[in-house]
Amino acid sequence: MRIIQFLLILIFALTVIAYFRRWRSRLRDRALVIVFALAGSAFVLFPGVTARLAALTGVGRGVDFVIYLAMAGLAFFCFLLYAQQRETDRKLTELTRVIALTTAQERVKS
Amino acid sequence: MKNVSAPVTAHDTFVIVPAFNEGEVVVQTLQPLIRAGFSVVVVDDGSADATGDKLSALAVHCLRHPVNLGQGAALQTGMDYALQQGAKILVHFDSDGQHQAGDIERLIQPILRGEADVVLGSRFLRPQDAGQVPPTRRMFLKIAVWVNWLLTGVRLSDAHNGFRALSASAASQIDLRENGFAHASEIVQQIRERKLRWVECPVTIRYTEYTRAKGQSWWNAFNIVMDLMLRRIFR
Repeated sequence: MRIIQFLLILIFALTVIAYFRRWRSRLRDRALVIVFALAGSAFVLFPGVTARLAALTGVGRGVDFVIYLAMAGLAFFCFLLYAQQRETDRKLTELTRVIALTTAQERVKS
Repeated sequence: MKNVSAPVTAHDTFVIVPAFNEGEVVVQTLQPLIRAGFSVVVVDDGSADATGDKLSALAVHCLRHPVNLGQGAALQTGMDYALQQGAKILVHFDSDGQHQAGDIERLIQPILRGEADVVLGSRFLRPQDAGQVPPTRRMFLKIAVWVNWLLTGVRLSDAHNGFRALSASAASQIDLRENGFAHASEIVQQIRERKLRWVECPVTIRYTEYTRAKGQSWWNAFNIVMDLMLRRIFR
């Protein structure tokens, strides 16, 4: 095994662990993460596969094929994060609103 | 026999004023409202300046967001509160002094007469109001009117005019999710979806150096459109 292969697989493994530990999420998200990690690892172990897939899909080099896939993957994770952030914003709004309503003061004319 | 529809007094009319870092002008803005006898609800949207301190001497309902959320969120908090307090009519009013307390009486008339659920202020119904609008702002607003029409399906004469009146039942059906300025388009969208009866009413917007400096920029307009489009994707 080449050093780069080892490094990339290590990174994929860590990504999965980080994802599961930090963002408890729905099954769908988890399945996608596993698919990404497995596909990534497979490409690292069998570089010839990417070259063949690239030829099949008309991309050219195997590296390009992987890069395009990675971009799609990154875009997906950005959306995922954005959706989570909106959810967090919504919760923050609710919390802030409850605090404002429970601490409301009515001042009458003195 | 008890009168079913008791007359609406100024006290039943809750004027909601979201304030974010408006310490310089907030007292000036609120005094005419208090003098007119309205129930005034100030939502201090996490101001970092002296806005909160300035309010302490005034006879108003005082709410405070511990963190800054945006004008839309502050209005929703104010509406929730006013409805809890038994408001019959709710008015949205800007804290920077560009809206006139004297216009409220006219603004709420269509609701009092039972002709509308929501009244939207417009600065383009009377030539003397439109004349007050600086030329660049006018161009900006004309484009905003078209964009709003596209996004909400409702054609108004003015866009992002924050001066509005709602009946209690209409206000209870409005649920602003857009915390920022995009709420102004969102509320129009909800008025259409809830099939509320709306009319426009002429109002005078007073432009001062202060309001102009605080006014919305092109960049804000871009943000608003982005917010509204993202909202379509992420419900």
